[in-house]
Amino acid sequence: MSAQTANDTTVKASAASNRTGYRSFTLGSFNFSRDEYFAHITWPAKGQTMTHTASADAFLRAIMRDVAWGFFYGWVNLDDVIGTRNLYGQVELFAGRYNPAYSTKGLDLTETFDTPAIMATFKAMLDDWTNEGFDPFASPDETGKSWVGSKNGHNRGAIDRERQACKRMPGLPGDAELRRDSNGYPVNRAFADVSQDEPEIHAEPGFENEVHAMSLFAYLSRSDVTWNPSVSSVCGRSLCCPTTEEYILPIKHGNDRVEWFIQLSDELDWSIEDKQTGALRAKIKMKAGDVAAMPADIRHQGFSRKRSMLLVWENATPGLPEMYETGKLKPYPIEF
Amino acid sequence: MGWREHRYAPAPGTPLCRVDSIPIGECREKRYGDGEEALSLLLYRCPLGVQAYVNKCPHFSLPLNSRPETFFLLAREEIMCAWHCAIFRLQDGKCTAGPAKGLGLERVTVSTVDGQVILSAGDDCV
Repeated sequence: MSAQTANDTTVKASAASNRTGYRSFTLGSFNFSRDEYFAHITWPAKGQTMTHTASADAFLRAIMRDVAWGFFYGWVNLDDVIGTRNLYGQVELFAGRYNPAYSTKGLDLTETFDTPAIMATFKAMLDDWTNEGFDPFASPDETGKSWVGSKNGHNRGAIDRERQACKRMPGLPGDAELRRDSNGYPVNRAFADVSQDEPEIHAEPGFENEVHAMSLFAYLSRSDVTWNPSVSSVCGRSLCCPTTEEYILPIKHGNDRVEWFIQLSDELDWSIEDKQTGALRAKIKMKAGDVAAMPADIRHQGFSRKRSMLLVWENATPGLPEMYETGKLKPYPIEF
Repeated sequence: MGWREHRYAPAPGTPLCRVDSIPIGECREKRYGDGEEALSLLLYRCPLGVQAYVNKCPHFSLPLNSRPETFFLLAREEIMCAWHCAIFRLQDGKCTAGPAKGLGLERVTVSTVDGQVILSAGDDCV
């Protein structure tokens, strides 16, 4: 197969609505529109037009994660009906496929798009539908209700914020900076009690420039986003993504591999469902210090009543999804 | 560790391919070594010559392509990583959007001699 030529990233969008000011978007057979309170998604099935409605703030929080994570690993269910599946180069957009109320009656639809095309549409939708003052990465308590109503400006600073990427460790010369008040990262209101002390380093003579340490708690206490990695540590195919969480994980993540969680502070409640049907499989309360391995055949959604710290570990080895799908690997790491 | 310290890194002066084996505006992959430890180079041919980079996204250190020789080229001489959609300028390797924004591809210095793309000994700058 030869390398591909320039991909079509044309976004099909309507003119701004005279009533609400928002544009509508078409992607394949799907149509997306929003009004003062809701996002509306339609698709054809069995000769009729199916409709689905979601609260606009929840939909924007979900789309924000799908865009920021580049469709992530596996399935990103925007809610119980709509979602995406990353095929790594292409992306499936589905409605009702993993919801038996639709799929058993043939009322679901799945279409596959080249990744650049669906990403361009999702980015345009997020840009147009996010009003000034609404930050889809923030908790509801932090960002208010400016998402309500007709179109009112943009918040590109929030939706285009750069993820802090780190080659070795924050604080090293030439790498991501440690977070301080002075560089725009105040301590979050929920972590006022977290010590801001940094480790003492006592290197032997000659090793002064070869030893580094930082306080991960202090670093995370200054995170300005929820349900999104504060920084990623990449070591070979091992990805450690420490995050801070508050309110509800805006998507239901159905991973295509086992995903490990280590609760660093406070508590998180998880709802674990069958990936294909959404049938409830378990509820888990994780307390500080708890470790969980989320199997590769579930979808999960987290609930954090107070901002908490969570370490997410992913195995980025290419080819893992096929190993789980073919049964070469079991969907869980151990047998009880 | 720079790419030149990679166990399978070819020596300076190694011919990588013929220039005309890459259509203008397209990319090709050149691999050295076997399996996951292989060194993968990305060659992009623009009207003025060939740019080369290590085929490794700085986001999660994965190749930019998920399938052999399949790259997602965008308008304005950009390439999108197939895994999580980081977008890089092919002229200088800088990430312009997505999860690796602010980082860049590792440049591999090449020259063209008698229609061949040759690995240079010169400095590689990111």
